[in-house]
Amino acid sequence: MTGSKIRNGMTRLVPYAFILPPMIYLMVFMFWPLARQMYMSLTNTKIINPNRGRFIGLGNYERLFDDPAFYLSLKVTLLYAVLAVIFGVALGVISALAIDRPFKGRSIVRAILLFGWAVPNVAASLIWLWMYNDRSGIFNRITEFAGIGRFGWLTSIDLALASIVAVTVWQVAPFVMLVVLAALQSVPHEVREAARIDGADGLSTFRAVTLPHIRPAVQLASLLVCVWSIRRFDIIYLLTGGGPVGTTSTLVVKIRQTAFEGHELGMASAYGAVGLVLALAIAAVHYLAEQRRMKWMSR
Amino acid sequence: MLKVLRYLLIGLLVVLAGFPVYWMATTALSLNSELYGTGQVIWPQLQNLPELWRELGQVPIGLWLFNTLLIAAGGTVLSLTLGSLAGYALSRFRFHGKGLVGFLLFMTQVVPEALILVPLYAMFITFGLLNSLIGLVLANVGFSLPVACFVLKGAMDAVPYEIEESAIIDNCPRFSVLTMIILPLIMPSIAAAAVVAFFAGWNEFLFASTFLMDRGNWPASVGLASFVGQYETPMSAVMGAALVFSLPAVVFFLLIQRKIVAGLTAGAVKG
Amino acid sequence: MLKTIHRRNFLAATAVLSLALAASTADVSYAQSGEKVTLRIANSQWLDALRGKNLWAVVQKYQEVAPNVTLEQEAIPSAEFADKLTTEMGAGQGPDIAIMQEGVFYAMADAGFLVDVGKAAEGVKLNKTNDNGMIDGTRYGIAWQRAAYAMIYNKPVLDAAGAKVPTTVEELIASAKAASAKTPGVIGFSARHQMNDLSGWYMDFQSWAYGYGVNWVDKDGKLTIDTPEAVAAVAAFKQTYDSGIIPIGDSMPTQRTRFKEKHVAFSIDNSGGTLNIASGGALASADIGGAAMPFKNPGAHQQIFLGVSEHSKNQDEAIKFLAWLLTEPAQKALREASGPDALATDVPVSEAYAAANPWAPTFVKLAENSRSTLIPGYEVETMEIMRFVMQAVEKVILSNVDPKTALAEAQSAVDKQF
Repeated sequence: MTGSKIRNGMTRLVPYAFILPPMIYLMVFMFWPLARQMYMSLTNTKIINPNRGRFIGLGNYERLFDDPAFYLSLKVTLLYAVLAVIFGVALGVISALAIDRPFKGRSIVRAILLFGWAVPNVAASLIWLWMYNDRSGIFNRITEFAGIGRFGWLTSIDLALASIVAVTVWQVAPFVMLVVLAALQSVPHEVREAARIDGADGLSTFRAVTLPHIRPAVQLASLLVCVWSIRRFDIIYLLTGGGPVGTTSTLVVKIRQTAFEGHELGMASAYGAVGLVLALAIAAVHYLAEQRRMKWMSR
Repeated sequence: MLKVLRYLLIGLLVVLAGFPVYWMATTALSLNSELYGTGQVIWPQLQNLPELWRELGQVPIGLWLFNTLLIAAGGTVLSLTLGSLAGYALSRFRFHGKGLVGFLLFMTQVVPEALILVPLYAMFITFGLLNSLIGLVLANVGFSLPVACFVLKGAMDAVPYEIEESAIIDNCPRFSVLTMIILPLIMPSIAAAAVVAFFAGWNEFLFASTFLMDRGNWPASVGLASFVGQYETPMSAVMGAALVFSLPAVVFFLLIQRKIVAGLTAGAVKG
Repeated sequence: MLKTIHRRNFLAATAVLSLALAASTADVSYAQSGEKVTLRIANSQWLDALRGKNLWAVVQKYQEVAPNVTLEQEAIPSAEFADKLTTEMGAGQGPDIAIMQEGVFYAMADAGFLVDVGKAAEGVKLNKTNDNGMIDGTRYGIAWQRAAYAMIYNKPVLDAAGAKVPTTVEELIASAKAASAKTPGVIGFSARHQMNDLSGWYMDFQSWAYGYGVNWVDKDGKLTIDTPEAVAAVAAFKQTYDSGIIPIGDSMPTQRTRFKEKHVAFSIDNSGGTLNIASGGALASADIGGAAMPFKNPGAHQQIFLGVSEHSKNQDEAIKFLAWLLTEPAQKALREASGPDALATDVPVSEAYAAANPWAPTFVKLAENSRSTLIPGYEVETMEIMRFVMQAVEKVILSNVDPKTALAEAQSAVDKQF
């Protein structure tokens, strides 16, 4: 009797035994620094003396909301994220559908399609920089050969963001492809066969059978791509440094510029806070939508 | 007809995905005079291989790759360990603060590295972790732990409770249930989570370039970036190094890609 | 349950052990006691092929006269140098000695991270390149190198086109175009033109600005961005950009590599960059010509200083190193590795060198009147101020904003912040 009571008491603690090590870890290496940094957004800390900032309340935020560069970076971030998601997910889904059914050489094809994700950021930025190069890059050689002249892929105000999106899509589509592939391969073949035998053509099969099965995967992938886009730094910074004229300056790029070039840690943290809120808002929307769908499904 | 279209599509996708890497190889095998002047040759010129080898020999790329491997592997092991603990807790238990934990774990995915760079730097000085690979691993795991957790949780969700039920009734400690029953069943997902964590560590640049002072500790990402010197960009050598840097990751990927695809099944569907 | 406890202990022990290991390795670079000392010297030049090796060889000679000292490199790529050093010093870490561009030097001194190195300069005949190393009466830095800006050109390409060495911007455009037309594949003029390259671009642009007589502050110490001289300088740059002679999108390292491969006719560069172009590329040093820049007034120079860190545990040893660097043998050795850059003491370029490198004397001459890239009175904030200016320039060259409007905007932005 007593034995089971003790065991019961202990049992209640078991989940905490599991969750505590990871959470403590995250507290130390992620959330505590984050909290400190957020506090810094309320100060005028300079990076050169991180411990000597003075508390200035919402001063940084006032300046932030007054600055047109801020609104530009907000717009750029959103635009970048949306484009990356739309094209990245589209390409990923198409790739997954294309190689879903087995064919000769499929492993090799799948391997090649993963290159974008496997190649490290620094290496990717170097090769894409070279391909986009105005005088020596292969893209301009092709367009010149085709008679449509040369383009400033990374230097023209109109093209720079699109060029960055292209690189991002190249990097992100493989991940989406993997996630969707996995979901696709969980669609029992019998179901698909059955639908086809019943006379449904490819498109209807897709809509009725395949699509619902991959919807959660696509949603998850979309959410991750969106959120990662808000966070992505290496590629953008290495390719355009946020230029030209700020057309590729996402919030994260602004953080880096404000902190390390403007030397203002406090202000940079304010930028970071906004980015964080934005990403959380997106995540919250997704989360709530999920909850509502779950509730609806379990009625 | 449809089949032909499908093969055309696949061909197009392969070109889109593979061309940049092909171009890396071609550029690496070109001479500077061709690259900067007369026009790059579009076929890989294998006869330039010895020259490329010589240029690469001038940088400690072996050491860089070794450091990168340590960072990536260390991060993977730690992420999987902590991630499986968290995943199991979220999958199998109900407890106070569960929602908060899930939220916090997700939040890590939206935190930009640049934002915690400086406080982390200060903290590492206190712990004496600056300029060490271990410090880098610890910094990276903060970001890959939650991903591992979610992937593994998804997989665990798909494992029916009945499988552990009998073990639990027999008073098997939950921890052993995790390690001896659950984990072996979700190997594919573990592989998937491992890949994500490995790549994150392999790729990482910002923390590495800030926290490391000794050139001997540089991972390849920092080493490669240092190549873009103040005075000149030896493009062929840079591309050669970039290829060498990318290859191991790609190979590793190829080796476990079957498992990955299967592994993400359990996660994504329930996602 | 028992298993769990064992595992946790093991994990904890491992964690403690690895932290301890990491901590102990982190300590090794600091001197333990008394005799053996290690000095860490940070410089972005260590990473430059050939030049970095030569400079390091010079520095290492110190170990011959002071055998108890070991010198270590801290190599930071130039694009990250300012960031990295700032973060390190801000956190109480960093090298013992830093070799820094003027702007970074000022920022470090302003933050109190550098120590008084006056002792190193005792009894040494320092030349004027050391002037800015003295701040408010205390000497915080010793000059390492001063690299003036000049116009350089590819002699064979020019001769083939029969183009003349330009003395104005219009002539530059004409000559550059002639050169490109005559020898296909040759680029007319290489220059920085992107915000990506800001830390280098603003320094390069100072030559244009000063060339048109710009003063960024007036005699009352007020920042004057929107001046007729500045408008003229920006307009001249725009004219050059629009003429198509600049390879749009190339970073300066790429452009320099092109120059090395004989594919560029003209450039405006400092002596350090030119030294690199002249070494180890397809273009022979004897084929590089130097001339005054096509502006009416003298241009700018890049000044590099050595400073000793406040956080260093070996400040005295570091100052001794600086003192040694100022001795005649060391300066002579440094001269050999520094091309025509002006050094802390007057060490003339040898005649043999001048003969073999016809561009060198031009730089020496121009260094006599060149101006610092920093804004007097606003040394620490120069890069931030110039950021607004360069953003204006970028707007002018990329969209069709006229220089006066863009500079006026820059002026109001600067006024708001300073």
